[in-house]
Amino acid sequence: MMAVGFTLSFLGCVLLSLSMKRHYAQVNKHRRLSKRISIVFRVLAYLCLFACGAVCIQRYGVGVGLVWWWGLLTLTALLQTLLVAYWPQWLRVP
Amino acid sequence: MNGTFRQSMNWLHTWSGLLVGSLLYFMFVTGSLGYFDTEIDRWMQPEVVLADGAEVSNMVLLAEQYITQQVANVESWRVALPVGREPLLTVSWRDTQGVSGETILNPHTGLPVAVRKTGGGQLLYMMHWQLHYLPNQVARWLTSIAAMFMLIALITGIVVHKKIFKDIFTFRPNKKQRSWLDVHNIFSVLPLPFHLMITYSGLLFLAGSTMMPAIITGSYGTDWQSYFDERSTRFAIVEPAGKSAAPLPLVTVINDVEQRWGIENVGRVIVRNNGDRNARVSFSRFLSDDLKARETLTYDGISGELLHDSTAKKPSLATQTSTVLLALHEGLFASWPLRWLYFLSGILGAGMIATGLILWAVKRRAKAERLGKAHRGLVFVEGLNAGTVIGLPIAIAVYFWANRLLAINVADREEKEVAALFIAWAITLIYPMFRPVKGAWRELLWLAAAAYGLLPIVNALTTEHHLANSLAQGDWVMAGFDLTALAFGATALRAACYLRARESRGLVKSSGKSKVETLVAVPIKATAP
Amino acid sequence: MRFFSERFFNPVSSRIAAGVVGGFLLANLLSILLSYVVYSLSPVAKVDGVNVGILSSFLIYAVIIIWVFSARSVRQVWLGLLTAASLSAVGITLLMPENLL
Repeated sequence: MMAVGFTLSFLGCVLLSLSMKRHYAQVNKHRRLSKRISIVFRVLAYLCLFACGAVCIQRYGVGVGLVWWWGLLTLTALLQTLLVAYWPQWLRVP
Repeated sequence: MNGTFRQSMNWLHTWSGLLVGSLLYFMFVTGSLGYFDTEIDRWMQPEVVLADGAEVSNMVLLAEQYITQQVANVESWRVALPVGREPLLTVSWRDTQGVSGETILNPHTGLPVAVRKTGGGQLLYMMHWQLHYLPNQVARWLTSIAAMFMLIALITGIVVHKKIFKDIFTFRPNKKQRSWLDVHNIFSVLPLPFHLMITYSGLLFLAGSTMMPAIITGSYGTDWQSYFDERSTRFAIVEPAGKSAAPLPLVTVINDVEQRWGIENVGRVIVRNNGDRNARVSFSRFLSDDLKARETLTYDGISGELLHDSTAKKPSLATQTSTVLLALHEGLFASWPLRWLYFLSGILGAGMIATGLILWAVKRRAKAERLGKAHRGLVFVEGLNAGTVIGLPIAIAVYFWANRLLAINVADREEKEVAALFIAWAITLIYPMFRPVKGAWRELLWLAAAAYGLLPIVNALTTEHHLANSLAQGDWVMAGFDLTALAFGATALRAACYLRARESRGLVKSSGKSKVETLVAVPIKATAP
Repeated sequence: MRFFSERFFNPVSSRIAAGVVGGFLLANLLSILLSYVVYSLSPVAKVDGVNVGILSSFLIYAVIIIWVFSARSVRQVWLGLLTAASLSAVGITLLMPENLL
């Protein structure tokens, strides 16, 4: 169950960072981030992140669910930060 | 103050962090370890016999048997049961003379087990707010003050960080100051809900030494007893009547508990005023995956009648808020994956403090190199940083080494283990004063790599619960400890090699070429502090 | 004498004293006042009012400290603290439960 939560959270972090000019440029070196793609990524990102929250709360109730949610957000955001800093080529989509 | 709002908040952030940084780092490291305190306890007492399916009701009766047969004139006694994460069946008591004692029992036979005396993970966790070698009250004041500084540092940090959302995933390695700032930001912002919660709830835990006295007095005057009585109904704690009465065998009460709750989750049984007419027996359980407080059923110890069920009345909103905050801090409700997330957040917090201290030193060092003179305060902080950030983990590893290497029956074993920790830390704090700073970091990292990497080997040489055995038996507590030690050792090794690679590429000066390096050598021009 | 007062009674140490010590005292006063307000003017029980005061006290203290270090002048800081303390003292005297003193 928490594998689903982890995946949603991680996906959300990836999309959120790619919606920012700075990180898009790190990953796709010679392409410019268009406004439309940025918005699409950002909306999808928030959907994923909040879906993760919903999954956690549904599984564990509000109190413990929120703890899971923020714990997963922390972990996946950390992973995404390392990913985009050291291995941006893995996020490249042709 | 000094210019704009942001500038004064920057000043406040720097100074509140700098003044108590080392103490806060200690609190975060020992606190993070505290999330695995019972697991560390088990590793440090490998002789313990696990419960493995022994029935709770049976264990309570075995404990009762031990007390009635072995201890004379018992006034009160309690059993801690191996339920949930707790591995030990422990019986503790106090007799009418005020003498107290404690024994660990075999959960299957009820006979005492010879287990090495150790402070274990519990002691590491308690040092988190009690420190050590200090009177309790003094330690609580110090940690409260540190926690308050932490709160200020967090709030001012948020205010000062201009692009907090844009920078969330930003890490630019190999850029000196910029990289350190990025890491500091990441360690602070990513677990920010955790940091805010842990700091505020920590302040609440220690409130008894700080804010509570005045605020309680403001409404209750000198009658604090009424406040405590109204806050938590303490039905179990009553004065003895002075008349003796035959205590009821626990088996009757156990049956009632089984009917109301089921007996599997009961973690603690406490008997008070044993042999007196006002005897009380309370059964407590702690529900995991739940942010509520411990639940207790209190019975009359002579008649077996249920006197109080703590779950009967819904607590007020204020009480619920306190309970939730404290439960969040302790994380006792958390299952093991969530506990690892807690541990991660705590370690990131320790990293936040460490990188903050390092960032301050790196900035000042850059300025000192330009001006050709180093402030004595800077050299002191640089040495303190290395000795604290790497030295404390080394000292904790030494604590674990001492646990394995000290003879099992040596006197004052607990105190000797702790002494080893603090002696090691003192050495790692003094060491950087005699070495160039960059060299000191590298050497301490080598030492940390050895201290943690070799720990599983020490374990294998001194006990049978080494990694090969514990993996084969599926004993994930023991195996997890050894594996985590290896992981820490590997990380320290990687960091040491990285520093050496940078040095040999000439990016970093580690020899005494720069005249402003060591503390012992006299700097060219030391400015007055 | 002048050197002594310049060295130790400079603006920074003045703010530190104001924030740490003055702030602590004021935070306690405000928290006590808050607890009175909560249980005197609402059906909340006394013990819960006190707990609300305790829970809020740290935030109140933090806000005071931040204000002390961002206020424009040291004079403003001390005047502000003294005014707030006096007003809270008045409030406390008015709302204090009867059997206390």
